[in-house]
Amino acid sequence: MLQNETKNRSQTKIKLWIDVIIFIAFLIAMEPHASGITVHEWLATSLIAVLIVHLLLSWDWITNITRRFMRKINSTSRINYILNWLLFIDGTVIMLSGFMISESLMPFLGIQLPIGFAWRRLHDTSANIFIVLLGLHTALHWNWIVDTFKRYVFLPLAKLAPRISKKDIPA
Amino acid sequence: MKTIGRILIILLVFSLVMGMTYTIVNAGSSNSATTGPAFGRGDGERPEFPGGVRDDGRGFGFGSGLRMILGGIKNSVIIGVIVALVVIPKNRLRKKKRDAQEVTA
Repeated sequence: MLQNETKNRSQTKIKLWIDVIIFIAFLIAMEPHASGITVHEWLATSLIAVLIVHLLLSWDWITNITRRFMRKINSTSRINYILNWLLFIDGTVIMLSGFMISESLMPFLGIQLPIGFAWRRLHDTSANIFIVLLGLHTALHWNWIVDTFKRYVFLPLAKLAPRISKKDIPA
Repeated sequence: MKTIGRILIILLVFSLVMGMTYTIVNAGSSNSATTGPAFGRGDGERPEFPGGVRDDGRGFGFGSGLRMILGGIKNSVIIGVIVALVVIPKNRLRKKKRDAQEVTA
């Protein structure tokens, strides 16, 4: 029981930090003109691994809702599930179109791909759609984000602050 | 072992979606190739980027750093607005429901 609780707690912490990393990496990857095309491509590709970890940490929820989707489940979970699929599909489209117009990663791997305007347009459009979907995804998990930040970031910081201030004030 | 299986499932779905997208886009572009506008480019030539020049960021400096920060702020604001549009009405509705339940109880 206690072991399970400790496991859940550490999983939640990992989830929080992975989500923070994904969010920051996403913001950097969304600015290829500023970060440079090489950083943009390698960072976005390495995000695949982080996203896999994100999905693995939510695996129980995914399998649970997949099994019960056709049966009676609450509407928030259903909307969340559909939205997550849309995010996954859109993310995959961004990746594929990114590979197709790659200027750094694919040539580095020695792969020459046919070039088309359609891929470039698709890459831009799917990236813009991704921001909206990410906003909705964040909104649906807002309570979890606030609670987890309170529990694992703000509360430990608040506990630390009086200790520091006590040390600073001479007796 | 269980984790490897799960990773393989994720990668399989990832490849399926990629395959489907590739087929759809290729079918679409081969259809439009006969009717679409002629861009006057040879095979294998890179498409031009908006504004004609691609900023590849090789000269990364203060300007690009500032641009990245501004871009990051812009995207964060968009996400923030969407979050506010969803969360505020949702919380108000929940509070109304709770108040109504308290009144009846």
